[in-house]
Amino acid sequence: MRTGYWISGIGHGALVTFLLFGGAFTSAPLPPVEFAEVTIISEEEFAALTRPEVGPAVSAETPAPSPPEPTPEPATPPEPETAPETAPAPVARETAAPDAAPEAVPEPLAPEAEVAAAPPATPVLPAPEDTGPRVGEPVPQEAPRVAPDAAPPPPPEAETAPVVTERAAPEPAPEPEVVVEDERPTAPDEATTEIVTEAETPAARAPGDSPRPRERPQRLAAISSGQSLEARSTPEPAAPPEPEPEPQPAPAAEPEPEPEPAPVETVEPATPAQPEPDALEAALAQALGQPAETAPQAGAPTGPPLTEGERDAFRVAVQRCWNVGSLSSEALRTTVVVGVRMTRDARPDTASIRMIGFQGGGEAAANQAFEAARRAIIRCGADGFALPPEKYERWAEVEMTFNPENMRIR
Amino acid sequence: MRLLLRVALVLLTALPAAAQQGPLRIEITEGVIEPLPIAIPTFTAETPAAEAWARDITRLVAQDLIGTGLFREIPQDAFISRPGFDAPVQYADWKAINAQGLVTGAVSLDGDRLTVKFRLYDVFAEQPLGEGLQFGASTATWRRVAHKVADQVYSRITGEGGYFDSRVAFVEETGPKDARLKRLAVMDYDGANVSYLTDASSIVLAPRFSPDGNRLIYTSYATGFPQIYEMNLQTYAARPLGEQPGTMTFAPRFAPDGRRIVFSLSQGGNTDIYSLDLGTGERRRLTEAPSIETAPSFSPDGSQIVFESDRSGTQQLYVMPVGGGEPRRISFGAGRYGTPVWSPRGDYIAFTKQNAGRFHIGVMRTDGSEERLLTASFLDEGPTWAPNGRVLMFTRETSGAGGQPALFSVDISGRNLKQVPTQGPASDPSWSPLLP
Repeated sequence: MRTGYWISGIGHGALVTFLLFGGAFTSAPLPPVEFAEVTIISEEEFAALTRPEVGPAVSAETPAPSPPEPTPEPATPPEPETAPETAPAPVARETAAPDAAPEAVPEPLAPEAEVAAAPPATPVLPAPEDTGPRVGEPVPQEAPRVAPDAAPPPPPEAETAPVVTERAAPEPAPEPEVVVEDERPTAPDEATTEIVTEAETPAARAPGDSPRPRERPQRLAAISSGQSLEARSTPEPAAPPEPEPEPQPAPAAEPEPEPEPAPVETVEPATPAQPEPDALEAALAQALGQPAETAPQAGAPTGPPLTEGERDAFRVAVQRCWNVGSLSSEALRTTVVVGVRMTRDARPDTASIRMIGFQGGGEAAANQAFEAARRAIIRCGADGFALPPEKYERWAEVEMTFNPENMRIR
Repeated sequence: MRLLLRVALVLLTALPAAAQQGPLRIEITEGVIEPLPIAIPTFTAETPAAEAWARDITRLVAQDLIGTGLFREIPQDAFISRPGFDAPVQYADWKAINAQGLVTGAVSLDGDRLTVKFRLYDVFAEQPLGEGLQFGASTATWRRVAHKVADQVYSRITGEGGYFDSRVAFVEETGPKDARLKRLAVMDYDGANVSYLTDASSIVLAPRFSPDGNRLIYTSYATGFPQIYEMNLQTYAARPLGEQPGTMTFAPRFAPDGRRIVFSLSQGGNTDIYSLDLGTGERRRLTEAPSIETAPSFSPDGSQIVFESDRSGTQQLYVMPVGGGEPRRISFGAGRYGTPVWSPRGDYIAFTKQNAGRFHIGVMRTDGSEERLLTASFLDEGPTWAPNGRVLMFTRETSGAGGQPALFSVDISGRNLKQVPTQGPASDPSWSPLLP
């Protein structure tokens, strides 16, 4: 017994000592905040700042103006400040370059591979527009990165990929990817959606998504095709899935998914060069339901879940047409649950609208309430609800609870 | 730590979304309250002579429905197609103009007999709402046929009974305010087909329909004092009830079974509530208090009576068992409450309220909860329920020496307040049950 006490005492003592002197409670000092510069900026600096601003416009044109006085002024401190400003200017120009990319957009329209081919994120903006309905909603948030996503919407068109690849080849560096085409078979259909996203922000996010990998072995497979990711640690787990599709012989056996792989690979080559983004950001994006990189379509409802915003938009769209003005007071005390199957274009299958259950009123009142609910679904769904097409698996079946509690006569 | 926090945040955010199993589930708790767009193309005239009837009947059906405030008629000019009664409905044409309901009908005339048939469709569900119905009647009762059709449409869409094929008894008033002449009259619920039951030789008040709509009880000053009379609406014969020298009887109301009435009897300066068996003439006193108890009204099941009393010092509402007994006060708001009327559905009690110099028509639950005031004016009083318990009609009188009473109706939601057209000043409405 005493031995135990001794061991326990020594152990606790060591622990206390460590906690007291080991620095366990010391918090890492926060990085110093640089604020002095703000105060420092006065006349000279301000002048320096303003000059550089003007500079950008003339920058290319004139070094001449700068030489006169500015040069002497550039006290080293002010310059750094001005530097950031000047930096933005160039950035804008870079963006201009992407603008040119939009031209590539038309290409992506036809094939997704195109999108990949246009590695720069710039195409993103145009792409969403083209794809409109499908990629539309999710894309907007990641605009800079999602550019490729725009392409994903066409996944069904993957079949045309071969043709597309041809186009892509001429433009950037798709040709080397011809080899990739051989690998295409490896990538599953799912890759299509993700591929796009990855194409844009592939390397950077892939590693950071460590928590997600579970859901998307296939994506890893797709990524694996682009060996650029290999260097990263996380991709490895994905490797296992890849072997399955990779077997080139498989393509013959599984011709279906192939077309999509091609775009994936094309994307990969381009991505490797890209810097890695913050893994946490990627995780956050995924948690928020953004379709970014991951490819859902594995099982039944396994895709990325709808974001709260998407659910709210759906709910608001339905309640906009839920007219209870003509309902009896008993029907207004009846809550009905209505089930409906949705088509891929986000329209309700009217024949599938059914009452799953009701509560609070009699059957007659429930029927009245159900009819009002059905009218709401059909009316506002006539043109299709604003639901993300890439998450179709999530909203293919919908159960709506129409609770008129707030609409009762009071 | 920051990393851990961010990871935790990610997990907390992701878990709920990832928890979705099965279908996507959403809850709709807010909707809109607006009239339902409905298309009512002119009914098809199956015989040339029926064309005018078809037009008139269609108009009246539309007026009934639109008058409820629950429907909005789509102008016929907007129609894309003109459906034949037996032709398949082109739902797309009606969806295009946002018609949610569609009523088609046909009218035929054989001699003096009208035959009217109709169908109702849920446009967006692309299916009929109920089966087609057909009514036959003489041309003299064409309005009733139209009301019947409207009642069916109203009932199928709202889930509540209709009230269009009903009548209203009221007191028509003529002459200056200080020398007003009053006579009993009956009209359709919409003010049409007025007929008079009494002349203006004596003052009459508070007519009340029997549950079967064949009799009327009212208060008359024919003897110089208020006295209750019963009139047979088939023969227009009237007889006094509960005659007792030295008393005044007023504020009568039928029991749901139509075999008894309750009323107020004033004797020796005290007013209490009595019941009278119309078959045996047996009279029974239900309240015994030095205060004024009046305006009794049965609950639909005939088990309770709501009435007004000033036993607490101010006019308030009380409920007691039908056989008498200790009353239970149900009104506790500021002001004075009077003329309570139990809803035919049994869910509400309508009343007149006076507070801060204004009169209101209001409703409350039978236990006094959920009080809501539906109107406010210089003088609103005497509510009566529509047969479906969804609409109230009451008297509104304007102020001043030239003030005139008129009949108004309002939905129990407080919406759709409107005046009921009458030929002259009118008061004391009493809504009949639905006609057979």
